[in-house]
Amino acid sequence: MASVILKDVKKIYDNHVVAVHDFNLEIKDKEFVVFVGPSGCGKSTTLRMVAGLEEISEGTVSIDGEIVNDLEPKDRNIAMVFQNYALYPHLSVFENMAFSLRLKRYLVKEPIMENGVQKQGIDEEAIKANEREIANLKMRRDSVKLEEPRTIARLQKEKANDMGALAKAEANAAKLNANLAAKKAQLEAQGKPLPSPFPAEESAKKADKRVKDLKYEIEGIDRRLGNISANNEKLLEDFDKRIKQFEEENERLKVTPVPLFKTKRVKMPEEEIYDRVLSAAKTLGITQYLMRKPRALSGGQRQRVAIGRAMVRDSKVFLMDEPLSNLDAKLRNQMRAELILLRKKIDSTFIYVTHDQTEAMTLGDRIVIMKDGYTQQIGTPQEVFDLPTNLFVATFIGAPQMNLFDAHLNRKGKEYSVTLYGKTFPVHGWKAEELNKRDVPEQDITLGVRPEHMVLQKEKATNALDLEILVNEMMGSEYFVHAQAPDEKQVVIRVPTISLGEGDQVSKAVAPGTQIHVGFEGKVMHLFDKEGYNLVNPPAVKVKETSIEGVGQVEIKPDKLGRKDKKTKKALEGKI
Amino acid sequence: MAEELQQQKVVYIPDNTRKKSSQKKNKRVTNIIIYVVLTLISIIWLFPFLLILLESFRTYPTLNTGNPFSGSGYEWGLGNYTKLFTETRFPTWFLNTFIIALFVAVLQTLIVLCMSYTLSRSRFKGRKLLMNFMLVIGMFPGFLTLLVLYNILKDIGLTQEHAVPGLILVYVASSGMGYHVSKGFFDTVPKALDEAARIDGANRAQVLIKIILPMAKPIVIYTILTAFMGPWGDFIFAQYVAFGAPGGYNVAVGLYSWLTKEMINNYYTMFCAGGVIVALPVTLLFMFLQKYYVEGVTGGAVKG
Repeated sequence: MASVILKDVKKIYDNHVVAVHDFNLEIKDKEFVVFVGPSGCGKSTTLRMVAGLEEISEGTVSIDGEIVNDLEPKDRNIAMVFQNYALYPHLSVFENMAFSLRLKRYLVKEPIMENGVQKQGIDEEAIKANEREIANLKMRRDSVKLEEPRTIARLQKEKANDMGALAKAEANAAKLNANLAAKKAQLEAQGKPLPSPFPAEESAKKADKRVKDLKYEIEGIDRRLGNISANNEKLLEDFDKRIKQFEEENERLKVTPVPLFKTKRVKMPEEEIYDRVLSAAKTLGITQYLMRKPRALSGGQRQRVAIGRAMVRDSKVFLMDEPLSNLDAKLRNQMRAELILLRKKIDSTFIYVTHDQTEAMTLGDRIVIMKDGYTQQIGTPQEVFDLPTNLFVATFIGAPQMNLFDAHLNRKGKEYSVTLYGKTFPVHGWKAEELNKRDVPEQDITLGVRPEHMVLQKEKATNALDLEILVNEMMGSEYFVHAQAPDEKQVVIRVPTISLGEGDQVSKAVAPGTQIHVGFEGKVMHLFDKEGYNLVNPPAVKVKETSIEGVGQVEIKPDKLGRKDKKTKKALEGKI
Repeated sequence: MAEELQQQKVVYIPDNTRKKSSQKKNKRVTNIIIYVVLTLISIIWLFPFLLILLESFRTYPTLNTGNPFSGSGYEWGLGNYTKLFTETRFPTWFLNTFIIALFVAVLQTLIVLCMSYTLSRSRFKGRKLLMNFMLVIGMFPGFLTLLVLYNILKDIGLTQEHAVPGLILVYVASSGMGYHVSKGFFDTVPKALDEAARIDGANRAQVLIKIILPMAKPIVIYTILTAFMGPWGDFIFAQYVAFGAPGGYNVAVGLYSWLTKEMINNYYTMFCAGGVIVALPVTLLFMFLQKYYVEGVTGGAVKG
């Protein structure tokens, strides 16, 4: 019943920061979708746009087939649970949960009786209600029309700005590249090797990237400018269609006598409120706290009340914005399990935002992985785990993080294999078929292997890496072994304790300094090209250069130093 | 050997050898000093009030004989109070003041709360500019506008005998500028509460009335109190707007009019009685609402 469709949704803040880029998602009825990503990736913003707490800059959000872009949160029929609970502190738990029920007005239909039979006739009331609805829809349609030229003007202005910036960036890049070439030539003439890191090279790369980004931006704006009219036409069509529906309905009502009802606009009676709140409280196990104020509750209980507040009002869609992140680890695990149970009872559409990949994997029917405002991958937990489309998804999902190696993909006719540290690992099964189908050429790649897919082997082999153990972490049923490859690259391997033998043998087998041989099968290898995209399962649209650097990193501006700090800095100079 | 000694690192030992003083004893001495000083200050401060209270109960014929503390020549009586309400225009002035203060308290509270909530929650063009502008304007003393306001009010016909509505207009007109304290408090209320309520089906006004105001009770009471107090004790504006027409006086102006050379001898004791009566409602208000008032001041200031 309640599907949610996000189409080309974009959020641009007043300071021109683009928080969400072209978000496209179709959420089916009763589906549990999780948005996951590092902080600042736009997941909460997207959720808040669905809720109506943030304005939608571009694109459309529809709930249950109705476009809700211009509707107030209260008219969208949604329920939301906040990270910091947002309980009303001056109201008791009961009143907190009953708040929305007391606020809303409800329609009650009573049959009009005449001589013991329901009266028939022309339903004036229904006609009037429909007319109100038609007027409302017409108003909303007109505002869409009014908005169009404004949006176009804004986009054109934005494009002009970007063009100006692009010209500057291109000039800058050309200058830096020329500088780089000159320096290289100079060094070569002197017979010196290129320094590493090479600042000139890095700044040239940065400038090139900026040019690339700007070009992408302009491309996007052009695309959107082309789409606007078409998009709005769709919107208008939708409105017209619904207006027509109501008008047809009215035509019919005006001539057809129907059983008559008297409609009353009423508050929900107290008994009904008691029933609803009580049944929600029973489901959540908070009946004994109903008369308490929120401040007298623990974190877990508060979150339950917040969920209960959302439950009492048969909403079409449940939105949850990091509901568990304020709880301690143990409680979080417990609440997570409860949420899975609860979800079965409520049986509604859920959108859930989290930064915790475990929550995402365990709760979601589908996961949307986001980074820097871009959707990276949408899929079931199994899909994103088995077939990450790019390096970011590969490293974000799964703990400990996937091991990445610089390797080479060889091709001999129809046979593919990967060379790593002089060893050869053949690719077989459907991954090889897929590579053949895509006709992937021989190239340098990034190879990803999950720690749990690496297996300790007894002897040296052509398809086993030779590593030296640095440290190990005892996790109980398994060891996280940190080992070193020949080029000092660190590799993490998950080793089940049971496979290491008994007693002393166990700690000996994984003692630091031990030489080990680690192999893995062809089907668990994840192959990424040098741009970071999966060779077997590349994304449909390669949105933007993705790298695993800067995951969740926020650039911090250094503070201005005070007098004391300056003195300290001077004293410490040369010592650190 | 000597070089070795020099190279040795200096060891720093925390100095615990100084005599440790008794905390209890110290505290008692400082307390005694503090209380003596405070008592002296409060005697000096309270003396005029006590004198006014005593003078207000003195019978008129004994006006010039002895002082209230000498024991002789001072007679008690309630004559001043009965005369104040039967023979003078004091009841009119009192009523004027009360009407003004009541209207201002209601209107100003409404305006201030709406203003603060808007400035705290909505983001609109020129919001910062507006706030800065009001801050700067607020630095000028209000009575700079006195002459202009008087002329305007005179043109509308709201001076002299009709000073009451005129004064209400003057006090309420600028009340939006007193938003600082309550905005400071509203800023501390998490926005998520607003959002939760809006999703629960409340519109902006309902959010303010049903969620924010019940939480901001101390601030609301503080706002009402200050709004009431302003016109209750105002002298300058009232004096000018009601200029020369005793029917439009408020208590401050009315009582002051008795302080001229010709009147003071006849009205001195009644003046004291009037002063006591003026102080009465405000004192009562503060006594009952003091808890909230303090919470309001600190709540708005500390976190603002």
